[in-house]
Amino acid sequence: MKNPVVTTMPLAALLVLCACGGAPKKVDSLETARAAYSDASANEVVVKHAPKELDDARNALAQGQRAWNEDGKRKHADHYAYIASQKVKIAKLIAQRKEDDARLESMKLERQRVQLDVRSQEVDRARADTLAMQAQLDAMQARVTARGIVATLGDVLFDSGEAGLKPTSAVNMDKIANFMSSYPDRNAIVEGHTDNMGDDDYNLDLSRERAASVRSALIARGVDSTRITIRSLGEASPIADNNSASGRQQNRRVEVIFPDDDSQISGLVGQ
Amino acid sequence: MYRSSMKWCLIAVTTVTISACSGTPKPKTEIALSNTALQNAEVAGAKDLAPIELRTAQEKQDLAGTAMADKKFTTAKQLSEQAAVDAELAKAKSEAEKSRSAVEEVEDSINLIRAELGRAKGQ
Repeated sequence: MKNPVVTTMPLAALLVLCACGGAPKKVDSLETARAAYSDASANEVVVKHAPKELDDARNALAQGQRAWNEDGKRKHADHYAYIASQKVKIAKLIAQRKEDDARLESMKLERQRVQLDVRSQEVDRARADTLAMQAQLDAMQARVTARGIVATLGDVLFDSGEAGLKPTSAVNMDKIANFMSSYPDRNAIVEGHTDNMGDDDYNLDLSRERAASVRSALIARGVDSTRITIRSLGEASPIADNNSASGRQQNRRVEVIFPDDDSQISGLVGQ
Repeated sequence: MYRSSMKWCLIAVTTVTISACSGTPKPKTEIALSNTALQNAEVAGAKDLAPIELRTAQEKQDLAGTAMADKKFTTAKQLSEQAAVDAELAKAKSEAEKSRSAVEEVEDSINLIRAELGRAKGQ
């Protein structure tokens, strides 16, 4: 018997000789690991995302089976079974991570879409608000000026040379009261003006009393008194030429002013 | 014939066993690999996201070092191979957790925005 024959014999041949009994023997740890591997490799998602780790597991199982067949040492078989089962866990975690990463991208797009919806809704609402306010201003025949929103109540609405408001003024008063109810943060300065006929003190008094009439009419329509301040300018601030009858009529007016910010009101004292 | 096969079998197994016992190389590569795997796990945030798995890996690495010092090279090799795979697991777990919570965050913000949208529409 020549020993060189033994030592040069390939491993495969040795295995064939040693498997005299028949099928390879099973060991628990390897079988459990093998089951976990089977499960994972049947999962398309895991196979797609972590083929290398599954391969590593398969190799470890093969190594473990070989070692068990060769030397029957549980320690070695268990070692490879452990490696294999850890690799399977790793494969599944990698698959999970990659699926979530893909999901993240599509969810970010979804978020953008929803944010756009919010924004376009805000734009629509702002547009609607602007149209609504414009409609009210038109109804009041108000103008937007540097001083703010200005609605002018002409001389015809007042009793001639008197402070009392005519019944025909009711529609105008309704519209102004409506506006103030729709926009509760807008407060009013009611400014009385006259033409230059008669003396200054008389005109100051008349303009003040007319402004007060307008104020009362608004309060009667439910506007809170603290929201309305009055100012009398008498003949001091004409808008037309006092030398003509029509010019004088234009000057005899009450302006209801809604300043853009309340600082314009705070300096005034309610009269 | 059967008896002759058995004799060959015994001689072969003995030869293989003897050659396995003598001259087992020092598992320097395996130890280096598990060191790298541990570092990678820490970089991935395993201290916070997979502390138990990380500790297992570290402990096995420490035991591998002890086995090396005791010249138990097969044991050292196996321990460091296990430490490497444990560290890989710690890293994979950490990364999976990071991705999961990123998805959750975006999901939450979408729900919040949708709630706002719903509230606004109701006005």
